[in-house]
Amino acid sequence: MTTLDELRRTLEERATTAPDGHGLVQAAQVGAARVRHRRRVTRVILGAGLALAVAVGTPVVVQQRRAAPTPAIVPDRARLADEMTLNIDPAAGIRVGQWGTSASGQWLEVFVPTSTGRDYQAHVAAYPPGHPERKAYPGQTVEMTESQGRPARYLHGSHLEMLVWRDAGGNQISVERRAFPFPDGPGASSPAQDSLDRATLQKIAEAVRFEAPRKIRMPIRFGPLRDGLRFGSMSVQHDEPQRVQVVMAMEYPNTRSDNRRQIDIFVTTGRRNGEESGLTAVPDINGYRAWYGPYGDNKRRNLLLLQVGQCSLEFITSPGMTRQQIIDLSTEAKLIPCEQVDAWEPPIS
Amino acid sequence: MRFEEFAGARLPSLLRCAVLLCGDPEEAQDMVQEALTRTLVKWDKIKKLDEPYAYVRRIVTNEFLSRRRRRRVRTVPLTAEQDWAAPAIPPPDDGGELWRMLAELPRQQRAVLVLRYYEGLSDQEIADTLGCRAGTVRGYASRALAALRIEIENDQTAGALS
Repeated sequence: MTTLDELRRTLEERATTAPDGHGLVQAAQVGAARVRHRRRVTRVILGAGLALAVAVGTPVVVQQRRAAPTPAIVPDRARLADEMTLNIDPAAGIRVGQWGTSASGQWLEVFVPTSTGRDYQAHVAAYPPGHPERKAYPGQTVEMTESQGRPARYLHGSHLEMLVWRDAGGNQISVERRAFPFPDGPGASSPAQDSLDRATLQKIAEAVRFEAPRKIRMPIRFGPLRDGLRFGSMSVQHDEPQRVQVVMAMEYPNTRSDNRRQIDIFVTTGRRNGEESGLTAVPDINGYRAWYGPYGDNKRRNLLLLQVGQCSLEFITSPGMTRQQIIDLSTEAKLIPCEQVDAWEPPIS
Repeated sequence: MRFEEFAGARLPSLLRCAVLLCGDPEEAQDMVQEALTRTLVKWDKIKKLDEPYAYVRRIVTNEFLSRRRRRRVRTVPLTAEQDWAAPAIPPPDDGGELWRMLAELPRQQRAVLVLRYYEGLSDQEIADTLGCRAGTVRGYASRALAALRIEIENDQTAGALS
């Protein structure tokens, strides 16, 4: 057993490895100036756009309001862990950023432009029937309301607002907004700047829809999976042509939460040289340069790095996995340069 | 107080906290730089708070929790022709077993330990920082200490500070 004093001593010792921070303040000043400039420009553009939209679009909006809302599409079968059914009505003017899925649920990060120049960002999640009801935290207020014609709860507190409801099939859907925390401390001249916005939250909720299950695609397709290895979870960010970030976890069965046996796979834009990361070159894998070595300061996991096209592909091994096992897994996989998006395939077939 | 004065006085503390949270000096710099940028954008309001440092530390903590990967993800344009140097991975055995185990904890648990035993915050203050309940903080701490196999009989901190 260890003692708390040892923990404190370890923390104190490790705190001394902190960098000196030279140039950080200057970098922050440059960054802040950039943020302010971007907000100013966005505000001007949105203001002009809003004025134009009000002048030209009011009759159109009035006409559309008379029409019945678009019903959410119901998938024709239950989705699998590596499939998505959750989406946002493309006509709603809501941008989807990162998204992901696992056996238990699926989620989207969504962005709605606002007149402040700062996007209203929210998290949309859907869980299958039987998922426990989302409870309110102490201090949160709960109001009964409606979403998509179904009874819904509106939970809100100082920095969080959420709409939760169940669709006709029993799926629990939530749209959650966490405002950037800004306490109204003594002397603060105005309330939180990143304000909550129930109307926008409701707008997002009304745009949530389910579609027929679609397989997630990745720049890798695995061959045979051994020892019960299976899909765990995945998140994808590919909202800009020049940026790809896919994170996928594959799990072994009967894994314990305190000793998880899983392989993590990262695909990120950028060319890497493994030797500069302390890794050792290994023979090319499927024609791509590869390196292998310890994963950071983690003694139980290792890293296999491949340079595939314009992306680096990293396999973080499961504890106890041998070098040959991870090399076999990658050798038997089909690797696709990540810039060839149309050629991506479902990672597990 | 001017931002530069605040940053000059508090930057070392923020960096120490950040490096304990993420375990990587380079990533700690990234986190603190991001936090300072956000702070500066709202400095007119933050400087009027009773404890601007507590607020900025909260930004650092949230930045740590929102990062999905243990190591920094670098992105470069697809058109880039040159290789770039990846962050240096520290040697595998440059510290004690306790530090290694700490590094493997889930992020919330690690943050709770750092805030409780290094920053000396009460469970309620940690709860405010993480945006959860004090009971949740105690749960995180309990699980983390169990994972680290730390004796908790002599843990006076939680009770005294709660």
